[in-house]
Amino acid sequence: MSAATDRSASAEFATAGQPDSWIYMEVCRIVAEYALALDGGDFERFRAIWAADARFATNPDFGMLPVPMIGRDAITSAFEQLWHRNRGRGIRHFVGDVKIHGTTGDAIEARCAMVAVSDRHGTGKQIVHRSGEYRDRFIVEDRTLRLQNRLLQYDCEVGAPIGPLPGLRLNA
Amino acid sequence: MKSEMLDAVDRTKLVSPEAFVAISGLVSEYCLAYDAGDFKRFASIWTDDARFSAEPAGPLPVPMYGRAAIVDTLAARRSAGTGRRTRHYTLNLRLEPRHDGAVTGLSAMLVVEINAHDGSMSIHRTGWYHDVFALERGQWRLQERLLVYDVLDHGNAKVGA
Repeated sequence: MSAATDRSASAEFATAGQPDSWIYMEVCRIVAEYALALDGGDFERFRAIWAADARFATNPDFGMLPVPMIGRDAITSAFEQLWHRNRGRGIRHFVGDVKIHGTTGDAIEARCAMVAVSDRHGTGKQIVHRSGEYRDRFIVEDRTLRLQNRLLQYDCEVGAPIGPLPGLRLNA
Repeated sequence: MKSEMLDAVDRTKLVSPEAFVAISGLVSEYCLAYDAGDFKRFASIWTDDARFSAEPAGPLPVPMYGRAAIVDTLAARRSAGTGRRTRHYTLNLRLEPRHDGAVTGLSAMLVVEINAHDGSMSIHRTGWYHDVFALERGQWRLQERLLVYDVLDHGNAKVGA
Protein backbone atom coordinates (compact mmCIF):
# COMPACT_ATOMS: atom_id res chain seq x y z
CA MET A 1 0.00 0.00 0.00
CA SER A 2 1.43 3.38 -1.02
CA ALA A 3 1.75 6.19 1.49
CA ALA A 4 -0.98 8.15 -0.30
CA THR A 5 -3.36 5.19 -0.25
CA ASP A 6 -2.51 4.50 3.36
CA ARG A 7 -3.35 8.09 4.33
CA SER A 8 -6.62 7.92 2.44
CA ALA A 9 -7.61 4.67 4.10
CA SER A 10 -6.75 6.08 7.50
CA ALA A 11 -8.85 9.17 6.90
CA GLU A 12 -11.80 7.04 5.84
CA PHE A 13 -11.42 4.80 8.88
CA ALA A 14 -11.28 7.83 11.15
CA THR A 15 -14.56 9.28 9.95
CA ALA A 16 -16.76 6.48 8.65
CA GLY A 17 -19.35 5.63 11.26
CA GLN A 18 -17.26 7.09 14.05
CA PRO A 19 -18.96 9.17 16.73
CA ASP A 20 -18.38 12.87 16.81
CA SER A 21 -15.94 13.87 19.53
CA TRP A 22 -18.63 15.82 21.40
CA ILE A 23 -20.88 12.76 21.54
CA TYR A 24 -18.08 10.51 22.75
CA MET A 25 -16.97 13.05 25.34
CA GLU A 26 -20.47 13.55 26.70
CA VAL A 27 -21.15 9.82 26.99
CA CYS A 28 -17.81 9.40 28.80
CA ARG A 29 -18.75 12.21 31.15
CA ILE A 30 -22.09 10.68 32.07
CA VAL A 31 -20.87 7.14 32.63
CA ALA A 32 -18.08 8.55 34.80
CA GLU A 33 -20.51 10.74 36.71
CA TYR A 34 -22.72 7.72 37.45
CA ALA A 35 -19.86 5.92 39.17
CA LEU A 36 -18.36 8.96 40.90
CA ALA A 37 -21.68 10.25 42.25
CA LEU A 38 -22.83 6.79 43.30
CA ASP A 39 -19.63 5.97 45.19
CA GLY A 40 -19.41 9.46 46.65
CA GLY A 41 -23.01 9.51 47.86
CA ASP A 42 -23.75 12.65 45.86
CA PHE A 43 -27.34 11.94 44.88
CA GLU A 44 -28.05 15.42 43.60
CA ARG A 45 -25.47 14.85 40.87
CA PHE A 46 -26.57 11.23 40.48
CA ARG A 47 -30.17 12.30 39.87
CA ALA A 48 -29.08 14.84 37.27
CA ILE A 49 -27.69 12.22 34.91
CA TRP A 50 -31.08 10.56 34.37
CA ALA A 51 -33.93 11.49 32.05
CA ALA A 52 -37.27 11.97 33.78
CA ASP A 53 -38.65 8.71 32.35
CA ALA A 54 -35.43 6.74 32.76
CA ARG A 55 -35.38 2.99 33.20
CA PHE A 56 -32.81 0.90 35.05
CA ALA A 57 -32.60 -2.89 35.10
CA THR A 58 -30.07 -5.59 35.85
CA ASN A 59 -29.58 -9.08 34.53
CA PRO A 60 -29.65 -11.17 36.57
CA ASP A 61 -31.57 -9.61 39.43
CA PHE A 62 -29.47 -10.18 42.56
CA GLY A 63 -32.23 -8.77 44.75
CA MET A 64 -30.28 -5.68 45.79
CA LEU A 65 -32.51 -3.27 43.92
CA PRO A 66 -36.23 -3.34 42.99
CA VAL A 67 -35.53 -3.77 39.28
CA PRO A 68 -36.70 -2.78 36.81
CA MET A 69 -37.03 0.76 38.08
CA ILE A 70 -38.85 3.43 36.15
CA GLY A 71 -38.35 7.17 36.58
CA ARG A 72 -35.48 9.36 37.72
CA ASP A 73 -36.80 9.76 41.27
CA ALA A 74 -37.41 6.06 41.83
CA ILE A 75 -33.96 5.15 40.54
CA THR A 76 -32.23 7.80 42.63
CA SER A 77 -34.13 6.89 45.78
CA ALA A 78 -33.38 3.18 45.43
CA PHE A 79 -29.66 3.76 44.87
CA GLU A 80 -29.50 6.19 47.78
CA GLN A 81 -31.02 3.59 50.10
CA LEU A 82 -28.58 0.98 48.80
CA TRP A 83 -25.68 3.37 49.35
CA HIS A 84 -26.66 3.89 53.00
CA ARG A 85 -26.94 0.12 53.52
CA ASN A 86 -23.48 -0.44 52.05
CA ARG A 87 -21.57 2.40 53.72
CA GLY A 88 -18.18 1.42 55.02
CA ARG A 89 -17.79 -1.54 52.66
CA GLY A 90 -15.28 0.25 50.46
CA ILE A 91 -17.36 -0.12 47.32
CA ARG A 92 -15.92 1.48 44.22
CA HIS A 93 -17.24 1.25 40.66
CA PHE A 94 -14.78 1.55 37.78
CA VAL A 95 -16.05 2.19 34.28
CA GLY A 96 -14.05 1.96 31.08
CA ASP A 97 -14.04 0.69 27.50
CA VAL A 98 -16.70 3.18 26.43
CA LYS A 99 -18.02 2.44 22.94
CA ILE A 100 -20.68 4.34 21.04
CA HIS A 101 -22.71 1.79 19.16
CA GLY A 102 -24.95 4.05 17.13
CA THR A 103 -27.95 6.27 17.09
CA THR A 104 -31.65 5.57 16.87
CA GLY A 105 -33.74 8.62 16.10
CA ASP A 106 -32.75 11.15 18.73
CA ALA A 107 -31.06 8.62 20.99
CA ILE A 108 -27.45 7.51 21.33
CA GLU A 109 -26.70 3.92 22.24
CA ALA A 110 -23.46 2.98 23.96
CA ARG A 111 -21.88 0.28 26.03
CA CYS A 112 -19.12 0.24 28.61
CA ALA A 113 -17.45 -2.19 30.96
CA MET A 114 -17.77 -2.09 34.73
CA VAL A 115 -15.83 -3.65 37.58
CA ALA A 116 -16.86 -3.09 41.18
CA VAL A 117 -14.61 -3.75 44.15
CA SER A 118 -15.53 -3.88 47.81
CA ASP A 119 -14.27 -4.75 51.24
CA ARG A 120 -17.13 -7.22 51.58
CA HIS A 121 -15.49 -9.18 54.40
CA GLY A 122 -14.59 -6.10 56.46
CA THR A 123 -10.90 -6.95 56.52
CA GLY A 124 -9.70 -3.70 54.99
CA LYS A 125 -8.80 -5.56 51.80
CA GLN A 126 -10.88 -4.91 48.74
CA ILE A 127 -11.67 -7.66 46.27
CA VAL A 128 -13.41 -7.74 42.92
CA HIS A 129 -17.08 -7.85 43.78
CA ARG A 130 -18.85 -7.71 40.42
CA SER A 131 -18.06 -7.12 36.77
CA GLY A 132 -20.29 -6.58 33.81
CA GLU A 133 -21.39 -4.31 31.05
CA TYR A 134 -23.66 -1.28 30.96
CA ARG A 135 -25.91 -1.08 27.91
CA ASP A 136 -27.15 2.46 27.68
CA ARG A 137 -29.40 4.80 25.77
CA PHE A 138 -28.96 8.56 26.02
CA ILE A 139 -31.26 11.40 24.98
CA VAL A 140 -31.07 15.19 25.16
CA GLU A 141 -33.44 16.60 27.78
CA ASP A 142 -33.34 20.14 29.21
CA ARG A 143 -30.27 20.99 27.10
CA THR A 144 -28.29 18.15 28.68
CA LEU A 145 -27.50 14.65 27.48
CA ARG A 146 -29.11 12.24 29.94
CA LEU A 147 -29.29 8.53 30.55
CA GLN A 148 -32.71 7.21 29.55
CA ASN A 149 -32.15 3.48 29.74
CA ARG A 150 -29.47 1.47 31.50
CA LEU A 151 -29.27 -2.30 31.59
CA LEU A 152 -26.53 -3.68 33.80
CA GLN A 153 -25.59 -7.06 32.39
CA TYR A 154 -23.49 -8.88 34.97
CA ASP A 155 -20.83 -11.17 33.59
CA CYS A 156 -22.38 -14.28 35.02
CA GLU A 157 -25.05 -15.44 37.35
CA VAL A 158 -23.73 -16.85 40.58
CA GLY A 159 -23.57 -20.61 40.26
CA ALA A 160 -24.68 -20.60 36.63
CA PRO A 161 -22.67 -21.12 33.48
CA ILE A 162 -21.78 -18.06 31.42
CA GLY A 163 -24.02 -17.97 28.39
CA PRO A 164 -24.79 -15.53 25.59
CA LEU A 165 -25.68 -12.06 26.80
CA PRO A 166 -29.26 -11.02 26.13
CA GLY A 167 -29.73 -7.94 24.03
CA LEU A 168 -30.64 -4.55 25.39
CA ARG A 169 -34.41 -4.26 25.33
CA LEU A 170 -34.88 -0.55 24.89
CA ASN A 171 -38.31 0.72 25.84
CA ALA A 172 -39.20 -2.69 27.19
CA MET B 1 -22.75 10.30 13.60
CA LYS B 2 -22.53 14.05 14.01
CA SER B 3 -22.72 16.40 16.92
CA GLU B 4 -25.82 18.13 15.51
CA MET B 5 -27.63 15.68 17.79
CA LEU B 6 -26.22 17.71 20.65
CA ASP B 7 -27.02 21.15 19.25
CA ALA B 8 -29.45 21.74 22.08
CA VAL B 9 -26.86 20.93 24.75
CA ASP B 10 -25.38 23.81 26.72
CA ARG B 11 -21.69 23.44 25.89
CA THR B 12 -20.56 26.26 28.14
CA LYS B 13 -20.52 23.70 30.95
CA LEU B 14 -18.28 21.34 29.00
CA VAL B 15 -14.57 21.27 28.28
CA SER B 16 -13.53 21.30 24.65
CA PRO B 17 -12.76 18.01 22.88
CA GLU B 18 -9.17 19.18 22.47
CA ALA B 19 -8.78 19.72 26.21
CA PHE B 20 -10.53 16.42 26.93
CA VAL B 21 -8.09 14.49 24.75
CA ALA B 22 -5.03 16.30 26.11
CA ILE B 23 -6.03 15.91 29.75
CA SER B 24 -7.03 12.27 29.27
CA GLY B 25 -3.50 11.75 28.01
CA LEU B 26 -2.04 13.37 31.13
CA VAL B 27 -3.94 11.18 33.58
CA SER B 28 -2.96 8.10 31.58
CA GLU B 29 0.67 9.17 31.46
CA TYR B 30 0.72 9.65 35.24
CA CYS B 31 -0.05 5.94 35.62
CA LEU B 32 1.96 4.58 32.71
CA ALA B 33 5.10 6.57 33.44
CA TYR B 34 5.02 5.89 37.19
CA ASP B 35 4.55 2.15 36.75
CA ALA B 36 7.29 2.08 34.10
CA GLY B 37 9.63 4.02 36.38
CA ASP B 38 10.08 6.60 33.64
CA PHE B 39 10.32 9.79 35.64
CA LYS B 40 11.39 11.92 32.70
CA ARG B 41 7.97 11.28 31.20
CA PHE B 42 6.38 11.55 34.62
CA ALA B 43 7.91 15.01 35.04
CA SER B 44 6.43 16.21 31.77
CA ILE B 45 2.84 16.06 33.01
CA TRP B 46 3.24 18.63 35.82
CA THR B 47 3.29 22.42 35.78
CA ASP B 48 6.33 24.17 37.21
CA ASP B 49 4.31 25.22 40.27
CA ALA B 50 2.46 21.92 40.72
CA ARG B 51 1.12 20.76 44.08
CA PHE B 52 0.57 17.18 45.22
CA SER B 53 -1.13 16.04 48.38
CA ALA B 54 -2.71 12.90 49.79
CA GLU B 55 -5.25 12.04 52.48
CA PRO B 56 -4.24 10.32 54.63
CA ALA B 57 -0.63 11.24 54.09
CA GLY B 58 0.95 7.94 55.08
CA PRO B 59 4.69 7.91 54.43
CA LEU B 60 4.59 10.69 51.84
CA PRO B 61 5.81 14.16 52.92
CA VAL B 62 2.73 15.98 51.71
CA PRO B 63 1.88 18.54 50.59
CA MET B 64 4.65 18.74 48.00
CA TYR B 65 5.22 21.89 45.98
CA GLY B 66 6.87 22.17 42.60
CA ARG B 67 7.49 19.68 39.81
CA ALA B 68 10.99 18.73 40.97
CA ALA B 69 9.93 17.95 44.53
CA ILE B 70 6.98 15.86 43.39
CA VAL B 71 8.93 13.88 40.83
CA ASP B 72 11.93 13.26 43.10
CA THR B 73 9.75 12.16 46.02
CA LEU B 74 7.56 9.81 44.02
CA ALA B 75 10.58 8.37 42.20
CA ALA B 76 12.19 7.60 45.55
CA ARG B 77 8.93 6.12 46.77
CA ARG B 78 8.73 3.79 43.81
CA SER B 79 12.37 2.73 44.14
CA ALA B 80 11.75 1.78 47.77
CA GLY B 81 9.03 -0.69 46.85
CA THR B 82 10.98 -3.93 46.64
CA GLY B 83 9.32 -7.26 46.07
CA ARG B 84 6.30 -5.80 44.36
CA ARG B 85 5.25 -3.77 41.40
CA THR B 86 2.09 -1.83 40.81
CA ARG B 87 -0.26 -1.13 37.95
CA HIS B 88 -2.21 2.12 38.28
CA TYR B 89 -5.51 2.73 36.51
CA THR B 90 -7.35 6.03 36.31
CA LEU B 91 -11.02 5.62 35.42
CA ASN B 92 -14.30 7.54 35.60
CA LEU B 93 -12.63 10.77 34.50
CA ARG B 94 -14.97 13.75 34.85
CA LEU B 95 -13.73 17.15 33.67
CA GLU B 96 -15.37 20.53 34.22
CA PRO B 97 -14.21 23.97 33.07
CA ARG B 98 -13.36 26.51 35.76
CA HIS B 99 -14.09 30.23 35.45
CA ASP B 100 -10.40 31.11 35.14
CA GLY B 101 -9.76 28.81 32.18
CA ALA B 102 -8.42 25.92 34.23
CA VAL B 103 -10.17 22.55 34.26
CA THR B 104 -11.08 20.59 37.38
CA GLY B 105 -11.05 16.82 37.32
CA LEU B 106 -12.40 14.03 39.47
CA SER B 107 -11.53 10.42 38.76
CA ALA B 108 -11.24 7.04 40.39
CA MET B 109 -7.95 5.31 41.11
CA LEU B 110 -7.39 1.56 41.09
CA VAL B 111 -3.98 0.14 41.94
CA VAL B 112 -3.24 -3.53 41.37
CA GLU B 113 -0.25 -4.95 43.19
CA ILE B 114 1.91 -7.60 41.54
CA ASN B 115 3.94 -9.75 43.87
CA ALA B 116 7.37 -10.07 42.26
CA HIS B 117 8.03 -13.43 43.91
CA ASP B 118 5.01 -15.44 42.82
CA GLY B 119 3.31 -13.16 40.28
CA SER B 120 0.09 -13.04 42.24
CA MET B 121 -2.03 -9.93 41.87
CA SER B 122 -4.40 -8.21 44.24
CA ILE B 123 -6.11 -4.87 44.69
CA HIS B 124 -3.65 -2.64 46.50
CA ARG B 125 -5.53 0.64 46.78
CA THR B 126 -8.53 2.49 45.47
CA GLY B 127 -9.33 6.14 45.84
CA TRP B 128 -10.06 9.47 44.24
CA TYR B 129 -7.98 11.94 42.31
CA HIS B 130 -9.11 15.55 42.73
CA ASP B 131 -7.22 17.51 40.08
CA VAL B 132 -6.71 20.93 38.58
CA PHE B 133 -5.32 21.19 35.06
CA ALA B 134 -3.92 24.39 33.59
CA LEU B 135 -2.40 25.59 30.35
CA GLU B 136 1.32 26.25 30.69
CA ARG B 137 3.21 27.53 27.65
CA GLY B 138 0.33 26.35 25.46
CA GLN B 139 0.22 22.79 26.86
CA TRP B 140 -2.24 21.26 29.32
CA ARG B 141 -0.48 20.21 32.50
CA LEU B 142 -1.42 18.84 35.91
CA GLN B 143 -1.24 21.69 38.40
CA GLU B 144 -2.83 20.20 41.52
CA ARG B 145 -3.53 16.63 42.56
CA LEU B 146 -5.15 15.56 45.81
CA LEU B 147 -5.22 11.79 46.25
CA VAL B 148 -7.85 10.56 48.69
CA TYR B 149 -7.61 6.88 49.60
CA ASP B 150 -10.73 4.78 50.12
CA VAL B 151 -9.55 2.19 52.60
CA LEU B 152 -6.59 1.76 54.89
CA ASP B 153 -5.26 -1.51 56.15
CA HIS B 154 -6.54 -2.07 59.67
CA GLY B 155 -3.93 -0.87 62.13
CA ASN B 156 -1.53 0.07 59.35
CA ALA B 157 -1.35 3.61 58.06
CA LYS B 158 1.01 2.80 55.21
CA VAL B 159 -0.34 3.80 51.88
CA GLY B 160 1.18 3.81 48.43
CA ALA B 161 1.22 6.57 45.87
